[in-house]
Amino acid sequence: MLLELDPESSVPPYEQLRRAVIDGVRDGTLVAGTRLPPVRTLAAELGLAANTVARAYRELERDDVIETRGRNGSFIAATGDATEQQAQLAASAYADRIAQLGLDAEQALTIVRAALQSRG
Amino acid sequence: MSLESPEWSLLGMLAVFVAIAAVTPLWMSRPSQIGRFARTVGLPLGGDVELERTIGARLRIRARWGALGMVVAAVVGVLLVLSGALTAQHEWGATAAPISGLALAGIVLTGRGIGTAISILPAPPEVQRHGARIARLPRPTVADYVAPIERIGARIFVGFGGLVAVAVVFLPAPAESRLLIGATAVTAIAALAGAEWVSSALVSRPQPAVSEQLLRWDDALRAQTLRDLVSVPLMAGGIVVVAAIFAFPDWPAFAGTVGHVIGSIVAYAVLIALIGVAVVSIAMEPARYYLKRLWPAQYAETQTPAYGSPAATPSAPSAEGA
Repeated sequence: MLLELDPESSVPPYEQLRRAVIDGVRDGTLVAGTRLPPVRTLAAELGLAANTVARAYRELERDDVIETRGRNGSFIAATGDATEQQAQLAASAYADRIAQLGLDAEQALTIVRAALQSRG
Repeated sequence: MSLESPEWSLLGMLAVFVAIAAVTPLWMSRPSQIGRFARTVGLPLGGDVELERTIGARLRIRARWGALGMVVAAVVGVLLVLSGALTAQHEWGATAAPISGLALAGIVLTGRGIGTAISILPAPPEVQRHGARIARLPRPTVADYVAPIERIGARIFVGFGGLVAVAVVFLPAPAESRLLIGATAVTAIAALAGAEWVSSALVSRPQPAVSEQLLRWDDALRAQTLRDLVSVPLMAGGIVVVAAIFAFPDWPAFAGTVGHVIGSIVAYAVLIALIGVAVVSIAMEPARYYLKRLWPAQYAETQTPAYGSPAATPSAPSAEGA
């Protein structure tokens, strides 16, 4: 997912960033367990002050969109009901494993589809 | 000390490396070379003069830093040659003499790798002019830039070199040979650890970009740099094996008949595996691996359409990002 902020917009940059992350979660681009970059790194990439990114992260955390796991950083939180949360976490773990194995998304989806179909 | 033929040969080799280092930045600024790089990494320039100028500037910076690294490494090489540590001129250099050329090439390759790694540290010139605007979530990792065959291959190669070094310890080899093989194995392990640490540190740095197109090119340059770094432990692992063969030529006599047969089988198996890995690696286009992982739609456009399928029409790269 690409984040692109509009410097000419009347919407403040922290709000643009917050909305972009929420949109990413809603459309499934950012799945539960996805690690967000450190505040300073993202600030440097977007040409923003670190405080601006920190504010967006704080508000996303307040809304339970992201969660901070100590020194490990900030992650997209699992949303929805308990079943959906578990499904999202399982999908995230599967995606990590697929990346480790060097398979592409198409192969991963084919495998999942076959596994689901075999259960009828 | 008076220089003899082996020293002059090694100094000549270093002079060639320095000449290549001096010419490369000039060579890389030629439009034909920029186009060639674009084809290698699978990114079209599409006749965009401004883009070609921007990428040309990045390639020149990269080539200059790579050349500087090569020159600094060549100076280290000259000092090593003059000290007699790599030739039979002195007692301590006699054991290392058979691998001296390879060792110097390894040192120069390391210098080039460090130089190109430094070249991607500062923000690109266009970001310094216009400011950063675009970011990607989630952030890529080293595994997104370097193909497993190169990344894991380097570990296997260095691991094999380490095993060879351990095996030599158990054979009644001369002390100098054991010392040389041990030193090359330790160097290879240090090179692997160093390359992995530097690669990880480079990827975790911010990647400011002005546009999606330039972010894609930045990925291409990062991937090339990380591949340059991986080639250092790959070569270091090879030097351990060569050192074991040349510095300990009497190993069949020490190993006995069974050991000799096993050693020969292992040596041929390794050779065949290396050729196989090289062929597979080239066929898998490792220079475009990052494109496949990070920009799959763009990668698909670079692939030849299968027989019978509708021909792919060149189009502008679609919006994507990891």
